[in-house]
Amino acid sequence: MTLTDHTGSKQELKCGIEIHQRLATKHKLFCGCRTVLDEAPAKATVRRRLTAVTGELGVLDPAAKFEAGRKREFEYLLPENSACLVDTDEEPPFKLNSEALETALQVAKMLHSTVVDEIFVMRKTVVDGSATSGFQRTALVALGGYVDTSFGRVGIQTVCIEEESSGIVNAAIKGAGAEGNGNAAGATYRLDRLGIPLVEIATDPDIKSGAQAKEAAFKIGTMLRSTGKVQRGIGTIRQDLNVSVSGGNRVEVKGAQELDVLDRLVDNEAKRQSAVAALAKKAPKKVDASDVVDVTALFAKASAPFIKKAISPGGTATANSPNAVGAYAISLSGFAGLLGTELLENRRFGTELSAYAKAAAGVGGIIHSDEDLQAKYGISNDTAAQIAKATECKKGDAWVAVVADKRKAMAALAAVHSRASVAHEGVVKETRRAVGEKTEYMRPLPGSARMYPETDVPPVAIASKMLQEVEIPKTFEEKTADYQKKPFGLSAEMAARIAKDYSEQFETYAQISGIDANFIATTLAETITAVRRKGADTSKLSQAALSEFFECYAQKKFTKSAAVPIIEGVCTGKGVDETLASGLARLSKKQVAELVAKKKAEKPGIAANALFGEIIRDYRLVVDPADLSAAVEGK
Amino acid sequence: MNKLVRLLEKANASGLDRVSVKTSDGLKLEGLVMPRIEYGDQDCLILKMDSGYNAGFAAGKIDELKVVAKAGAASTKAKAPAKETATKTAAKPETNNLPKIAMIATGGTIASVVDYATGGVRWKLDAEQIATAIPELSNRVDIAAFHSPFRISSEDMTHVEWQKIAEVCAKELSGEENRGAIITHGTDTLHFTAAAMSFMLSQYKKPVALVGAQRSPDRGSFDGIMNMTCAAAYATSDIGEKAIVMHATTNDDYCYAARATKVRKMHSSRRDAFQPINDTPLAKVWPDGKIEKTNSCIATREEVESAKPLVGFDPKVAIVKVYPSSDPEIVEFYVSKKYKGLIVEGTGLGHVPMDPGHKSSWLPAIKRAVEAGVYVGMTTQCISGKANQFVYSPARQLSQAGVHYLSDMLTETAYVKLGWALAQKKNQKDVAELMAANIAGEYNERHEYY
Repeated sequence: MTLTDHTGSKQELKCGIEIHQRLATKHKLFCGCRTVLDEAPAKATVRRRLTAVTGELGVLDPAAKFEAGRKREFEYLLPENSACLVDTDEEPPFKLNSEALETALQVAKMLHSTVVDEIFVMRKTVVDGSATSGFQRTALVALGGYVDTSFGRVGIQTVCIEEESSGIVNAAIKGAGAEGNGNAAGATYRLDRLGIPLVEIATDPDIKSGAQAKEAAFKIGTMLRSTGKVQRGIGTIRQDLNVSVSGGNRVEVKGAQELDVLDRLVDNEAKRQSAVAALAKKAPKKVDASDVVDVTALFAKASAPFIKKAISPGGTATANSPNAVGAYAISLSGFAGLLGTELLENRRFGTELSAYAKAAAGVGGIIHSDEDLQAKYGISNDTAAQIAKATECKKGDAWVAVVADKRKAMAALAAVHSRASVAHEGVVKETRRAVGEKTEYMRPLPGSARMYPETDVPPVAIASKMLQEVEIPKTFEEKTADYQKKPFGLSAEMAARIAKDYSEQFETYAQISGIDANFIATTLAETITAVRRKGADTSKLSQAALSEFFECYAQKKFTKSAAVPIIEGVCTGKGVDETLASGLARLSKKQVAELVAKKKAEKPGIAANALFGEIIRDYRLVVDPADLSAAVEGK
Repeated sequence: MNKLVRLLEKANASGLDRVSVKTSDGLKLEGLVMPRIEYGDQDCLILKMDSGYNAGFAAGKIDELKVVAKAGAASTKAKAPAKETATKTAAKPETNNLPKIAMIATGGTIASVVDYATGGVRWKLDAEQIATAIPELSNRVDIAAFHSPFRISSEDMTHVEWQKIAEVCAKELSGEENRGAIITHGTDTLHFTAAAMSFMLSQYKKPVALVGAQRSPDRGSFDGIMNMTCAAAYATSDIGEKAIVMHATTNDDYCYAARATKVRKMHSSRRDAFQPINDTPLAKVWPDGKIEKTNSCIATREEVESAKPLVGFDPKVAIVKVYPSSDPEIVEFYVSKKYKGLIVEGTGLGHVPMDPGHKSSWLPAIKRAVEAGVYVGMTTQCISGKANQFVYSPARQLSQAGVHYLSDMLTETAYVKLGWALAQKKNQKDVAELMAANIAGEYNERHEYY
């Protein structure tokens, strides 16, 4: 995508994608726990604190420093069967899971990547609490390669294999931080997800538009699925993006889960960066901020209920009540008008500063002088003027306020000032999170300093023989073509659907002798979905149950019309046999002939069409139309 | 000389140089040369990419290798590892009214960082470096003296190291300068050293905290931070005992201070490996300095003017474990090697095979040992509970034969105490008396139900 900034100069979008795909291996990457997410309640809870540590080269990573600066306490919930001593950081990891490694090698081959000769497991520092150890184990498996899109070739940088993080349950835990050093509350995580193998594919920044990003992500996604070794469903695949516009810094966008909006997400982020770059030209080089001023008394006059509710009775913090919530403000020199500058629809520069304040101190947001204060907060012009005066705003200055306790407010306003101070530099290096089609500031961009060798796991040499033995599964395109040919004979549209979502199951059942491939395809792609939508518990449809179902059909034990009620029956926990016995078994040719004879006796001289219609009407589920036609025609 | 060494020598490249590499697979790479670890394929070049990843590339597939920048040069993108001395800036508040303690570091996980020779971790940090890595300490105590007499793993500790530690510690505990001391140590044999300090420093009624870590300081989940902060609280307390101060549970909430003669490593990797045995913890210690005493029998801290530490230790002592089909000849071996003391770790209440008609009966060998003047002590391999000679008649026979039943003393403690007692007393009777005396809480007569 080419953007045009306010001066009319052209800016090129550059984007790289990182795709993280959870693997459906039997065990986690470094322990013997299963890889399914557990609905079961936790059987135990563990509480920990994490600290920032220096990387292998003795440098403290800025992202790690940022998180550790928050000094949070974390709580981990342990579901039975899917969390063990390795997950709780109480036992050294097992060897690298070979099933996961083989899948990563398969993926590397499909992407034309070069596999390294010796794999070293590294520790990537993460102190947001999502890993009990304070790091994520990750290993570089292959380098280079490409994937072709209709917009051009996209290079592959790396193929890695790594541990999934644990799933966040609650961003804050009760009672945390009350003792000890009085730190901010931490978060609660569940450990069933921690350690599930992920394949991570990072592309070169060759992508030039949102549409190309979406296509590349789709292609890599279908390639991953074709291995038959990946997990399916919400959250099992996610994309991180690296986006920059010419001349600007790289911004990492985490956690894009919806492929459908990926194109708009990329384009919006590029637009935002372009707008930030444009704003840089108007921003002052030096931004002075006043000392933090207590404006609780002025904010107490605001009529907005949330402000009234938030401010503690008695207001201002005192030595006796250091945690009292009040309102605090600073001025920012030369920022009048800039805070209100719209970067994207409903996203102003003030929104950016607000995200920095939230991330640094956990405050709700900021209130600033470029807002419609009367409408949003019930702050009169007169009060606004008094706030400006209190913060010693001169002409052209803006003020920013935060409603929080003093300690949080100081941290939040310091973050606001530091971000505003670099506004003149344009796009800053940072990590943002995807929120729908837009992004929001999360934390500073991590550097390579956060890598450290995993000393508990020996390196894995990749023998060339092992690599040769890794088979490349057929691609989505190849499978789509295959399914249209004999012996399958699916329509082009159905072949694509099956290739995309059901190829493994389809190919398994298609081996049943005498089976109609179209019946399997319809059942997998349509019937089961329809039955689920009606409220049936389709999780009961195990592979064994479906095998029996298709075998019975191949043996002409039921008609196509009976498929839905039979599947509904199986969903209630019945066997296929049992459902057939409940009046759904297909009538034999002899029984159909008897029905025809009986009807003819009841209604002598009945026309063939009517005869067919009446019988089908009453016996739709158990009479095969072809059998009936034959009987009606007296064959 | 292997391919990798030849390749690096030819290019005049060495560890941490920034190099460019072209491989026959068509890869063009740039990164830092990492030292080749002893484990794995010795012909693979380990390259650290700018992404931070390390990966191995077979030397045989490298067509070209050129040095882009020598290690430490300004153009080296990633900085070379910070030198050990770089961290030696212990931040001390200028006006310091904090209680003073001494710190002795001996090695172990708590002092470990990555080792490129093996790819594992190795004990490299000295006392000051360990303390610097835990800024929380500087708010609680003034570490007035740092000692790093040696840096070894705890499995390599011998009585010679115990003696050295005890001498250094005794010097620091004498006089009014220090409230107490912290000894950092590997965890494998921490409980042996703890017992040794209990006896060797038995006249020093000041708090001495023995501390280790089960996770190394190079990880965000380093457990030594809480262990050390709690140890500092313990070392400045009014308790006059030696204790191992480490995680009480898997949580980072509080530590146990467990009496140094009644504690044992009970798990090979968990944080809460050190649990009191046959005793309740002396205290629960929180990282914010709070201490809750949980034992009804605790010695109170006393000033020590000057005493001579009792560092004597006779290494001619051994532990012998009994098990089904175990050969009593092991006892004869020690007697023939002029050993002066044996701790037999018996089954159950303190039993050994002794069916009279049976070849594997231990009774004759034990009798000969006692006759030869060897002190034979009996402990239980059950770990928890006491050895008792009165319940079954074979044990009575052993007792009559001169075996000393050591009640609830832990095998490891008994071993250390015996070596120490043999150096303190000359004749057998005095040794037996000293072994039976409760010197440092090694006996706990009353076991509470819990």
